[in-house]
Amino acid sequence: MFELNKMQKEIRKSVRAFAKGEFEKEQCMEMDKSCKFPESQKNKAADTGYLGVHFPEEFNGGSLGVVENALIAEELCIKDSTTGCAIMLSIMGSEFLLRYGSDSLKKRYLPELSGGKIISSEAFSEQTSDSEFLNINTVAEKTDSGWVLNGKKANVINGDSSDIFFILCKIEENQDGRDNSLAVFLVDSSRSGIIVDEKKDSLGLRMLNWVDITFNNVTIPLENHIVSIGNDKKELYLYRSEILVQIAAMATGIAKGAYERSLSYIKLREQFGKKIGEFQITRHKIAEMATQIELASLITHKAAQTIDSGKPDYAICAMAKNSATRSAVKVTDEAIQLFGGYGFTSEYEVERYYRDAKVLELLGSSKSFLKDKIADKEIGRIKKSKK
Amino acid sequence: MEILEYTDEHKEFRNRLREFAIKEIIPLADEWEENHLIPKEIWQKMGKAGFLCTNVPSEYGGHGLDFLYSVIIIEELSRTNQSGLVVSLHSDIVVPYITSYGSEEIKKKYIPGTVTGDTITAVAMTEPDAGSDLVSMKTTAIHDGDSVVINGSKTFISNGINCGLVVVAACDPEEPDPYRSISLYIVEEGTPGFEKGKKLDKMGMHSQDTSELFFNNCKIPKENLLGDKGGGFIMLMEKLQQERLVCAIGAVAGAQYILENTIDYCKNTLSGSGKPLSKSQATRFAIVEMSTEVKLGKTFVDKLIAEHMNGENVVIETSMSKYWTTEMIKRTVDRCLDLTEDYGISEECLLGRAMRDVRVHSIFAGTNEIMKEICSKFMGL
Ligand SMILES: Cc1cc2nc3c(=O)[nH]c(=O)nc-3n(C[C@H](O)[C@H](O)[C@H](O)COP(=O)(O)OP(=O)(O)OC[C@H]3O[C@@H](n4cnc5c(N)ncnc54)[C@H](O)[C@@H]3O)c2cc1C
Repeated sequence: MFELNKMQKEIRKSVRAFAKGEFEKEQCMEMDKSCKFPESQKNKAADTGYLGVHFPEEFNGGSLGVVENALIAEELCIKDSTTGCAIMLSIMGSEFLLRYGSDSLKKRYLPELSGGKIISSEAFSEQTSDSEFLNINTVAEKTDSGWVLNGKKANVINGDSSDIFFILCKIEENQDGRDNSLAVFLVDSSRSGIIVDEKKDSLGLRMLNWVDITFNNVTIPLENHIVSIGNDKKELYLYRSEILVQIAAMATGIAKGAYERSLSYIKLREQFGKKIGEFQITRHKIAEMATQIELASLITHKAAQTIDSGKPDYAICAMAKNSATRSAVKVTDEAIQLFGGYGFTSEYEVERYYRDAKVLELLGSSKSFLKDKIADKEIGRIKKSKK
Repeated sequence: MEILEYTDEHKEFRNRLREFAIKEIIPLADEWEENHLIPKEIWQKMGKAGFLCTNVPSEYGGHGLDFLYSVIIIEELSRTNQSGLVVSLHSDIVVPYITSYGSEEIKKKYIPGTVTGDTITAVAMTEPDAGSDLVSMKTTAIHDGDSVVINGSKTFISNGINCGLVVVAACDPEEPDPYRSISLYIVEEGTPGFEKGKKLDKMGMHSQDTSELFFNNCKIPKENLLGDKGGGFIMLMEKLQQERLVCAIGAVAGAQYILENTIDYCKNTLSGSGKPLSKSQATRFAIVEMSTEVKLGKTFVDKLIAEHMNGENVVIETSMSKYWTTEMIKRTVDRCLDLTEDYGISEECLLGRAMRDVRVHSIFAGTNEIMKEICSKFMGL
């Protein structure tokens, strides 16, 4: 896909106008500093239809695809990286419900999510688990009246303010295989037995909160079992593909936002009797940044399209995440340099873009894990040599 | 074989400072970061323990020690999880202007306080519109009988809030040659017309009170001129070798500390598969590559320290080392964060603070682009 279609271009334009009108710089800086979630901006984005565009219309979605969702993420993050990410990630985990949930669960929760009425969190990781979700120790036990959950989840994004959690558990009744007994459940945060630890201060994306959560004999209805994860973890990989694309899209937006700010600055700032944009080194930096952004955007759209076309390609999504987040870190880093001392101050915003970009790079699956997976696909099986 | 020869006295000094830091600095680092200020008392404690201005001659209350003591201080303070206590800026950058260019009276009057830590110092060159292009500064100093009147504003001044004394660069509006118009003056805190502005809100170095300074018909005695009138640019150039070297020493030591912590973390943290993170081949190679870079940096910088102490002109090499080591520390933090995976997102992991702090290294004391300009000029390109 080398060019966006007319509707996609329209979406871009309208999101850009929306963000320009709704994201106020001083307010965003303040929310980042005080770790406050952009509630009203999120609600307005939801009202305008920007949350869950990839949900079907019957669930209050836009019946559009992952590509369109990525475009929205990108544009929101251009105007404000932290606010954009906070809005997009306010319904984290919902794709699990969207792809695997029962009709009744979907009916009940998806419209609330896309309407901005509730916030959701993905509670997958644990202290000892890794990107492949080995070593999940949170247990779900089936009883006559429902499932009983016990365990502790680490670094749950928005865990402090979420209304529902999508939680990955080991199912007690089938615990022989090490990794073939996982399932995802939907848990209302109002259930008793949920203990949320103190919020952690984070390097970036500070409008979100990061917490550890203990589930202590939390009972949920039987129907809240969304899906059991198969041996090949296909469900997890599909879900992860969507998250990876979303992260790549936010990263692309962040890179663009820092780039646009740099472009205006170098045309204004004067040193040695010249605009700094006239120095060859500055011009080459701009060329490099533009190239990085072009590549990030292309691979992200391609990855998104594999999902929309019904042939989700996890390896491409992993490549998109790794390369777009790397580009975002490089571009925002260079933006700070171009701003000189001012780049190091909050006032000029690019420092926040840089911190947010780095957090996106660390978020989700690790770079090294994703490379392992890309290599798995590229190399395939290698015959072991006989000794 | 070591390039630098540390004596037993040096080693004893390092141990004493390390113990001091463990007791007096590291436990308070978080608090300073939160308060966005270094308490003045720590400067006095440092002074009392003999850790400030170690090379100042004893006639001005100093200890008359060699530059290796400065190196030790920079290296040890790089291991304290804060970078707001900018001792080296005070001892190795600002005070030397006074020791080298101040009159006898000026030295007697001001230097003893800088050694005890009662007087914290700052140097004010940068202005809102004059950063890399220093000579385009607009702050003026007009000599009028026995006094000098300073007008203008400065920004990004380290220790701007805490300082009791500032070395200010200002120009003579009558002098058409910009390279001959700049002079350096000492301005005391509390002088009428000298005002400290707001503390800058920064990505990192939160405990550092970097701020704006304003001079509004600020009248100082003409004795507060350092060196010759119009000799400011040359004095700045003369001192820059040491300033850049100081940056490079800090960058290498900082990178080493960050890497040591990351190696510890990777050895002591199990991955999902139950093995320490450091057992992954990719992690092992990354650590080896970063360690190689730190060693390259250290070898280069230690040699420059020896040459600098020997009085050699190593302007090109110190400029090279400033740009290379500051890029290297940025690269190191960035890669270390990748190794800690999502633990690095939390500020609990000190790498986040390190990333926020080191970002400025390639900007202050002359940006890395300016370093390359200088090198290329001196290389005759
Ligand atoms: C935390 C902090 C502490 C500081 N402490 C002090 C202090 O104590 N005292 C003091 O006087 N100053 C201090 N500074 C100021 C610092 O030295 C300046 O920020 C620095 O010199 C750069 O100037 P600038 O910020 O105006 O950037 P600019 O000069 O505007 O530079 C902007 C960008 O243009 C590039 N550029 C400029 N000229 C060229 C060229 N010819 N070719 C190619 N690229 C070019 C720069 O490299 C940079 O990337 C401090 C700054 C910070 C952030």
